[in-house]
Amino acid sequence: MNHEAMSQSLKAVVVRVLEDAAFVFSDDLPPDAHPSEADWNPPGVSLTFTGETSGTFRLWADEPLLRVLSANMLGLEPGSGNAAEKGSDALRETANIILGNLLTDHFGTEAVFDLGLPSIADPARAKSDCLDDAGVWLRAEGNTLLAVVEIDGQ
Amino acid sequence: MAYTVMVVDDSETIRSVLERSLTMTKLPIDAVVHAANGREALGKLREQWVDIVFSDIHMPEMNGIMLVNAMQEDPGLRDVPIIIISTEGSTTRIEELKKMGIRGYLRKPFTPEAIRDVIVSTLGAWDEP
Repeated sequence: MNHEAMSQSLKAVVVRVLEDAAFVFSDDLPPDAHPSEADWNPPGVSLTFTGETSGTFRLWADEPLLRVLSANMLGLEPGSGNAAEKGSDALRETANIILGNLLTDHFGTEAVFDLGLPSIADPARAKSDCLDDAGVWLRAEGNTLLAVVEIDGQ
Repeated sequence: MAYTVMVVDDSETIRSVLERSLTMTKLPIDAVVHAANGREALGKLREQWVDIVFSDIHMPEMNGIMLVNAMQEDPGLRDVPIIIISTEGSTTRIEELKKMGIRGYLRKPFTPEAIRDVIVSTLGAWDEP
């Protein structure tokens, strides 16, 4: 598995899916702006995949971004109670769309993968994911977002 | 004549996005029936008329593939067209699903135009008054 190639594919897919599914535009977050693992406690979503390669995908995002995602996807006001309530579901579905598109983009249309159901990520994993060199850091609507693919056995 | 559409997805967000997209197609949609998984969908399909079903694959309790199989085995539901909406782009998986009887496949994220195209190609063109 080429980590650099996977990281590039992941970044392209995250940016595209945020735009197409939630009308959220994102930019690179420079390394000096990455939050420290001690200070960052974002909500996150995890889902597994199995196929010619197996592993886990995790997506972490500052809480206000969840409200933006749900508001944009559902056509709600970002400040509304509904947007806050549905933020977690919006993050789960965004992660699901990112992973499905990533696997096809990276491994091709012939490859068949089975995706697990998105679930709340263990907050402790945010600390180790902060240190993952292959993680994709983005800034979206003023919020920080981190996407990580962990391949089994590596 | 207006269509009754069923949306099957465990994500309330996706069900709402799809319903919103359906209203943006300008097609005559009479009602949108929601179901959170295949089992709930089957129960509702046996109680009311639905013109077309949009279903996710990965869902708890009964997934989309099991729903397609169950509908094919039920003489009362066999002819109800089912469109799979999924994040996956595997042509191998799509061909398998077509052999099982699905009428179309849409990849997430989808657009209202893609929804409209698949409804028109499945149910026939509708002339706007």
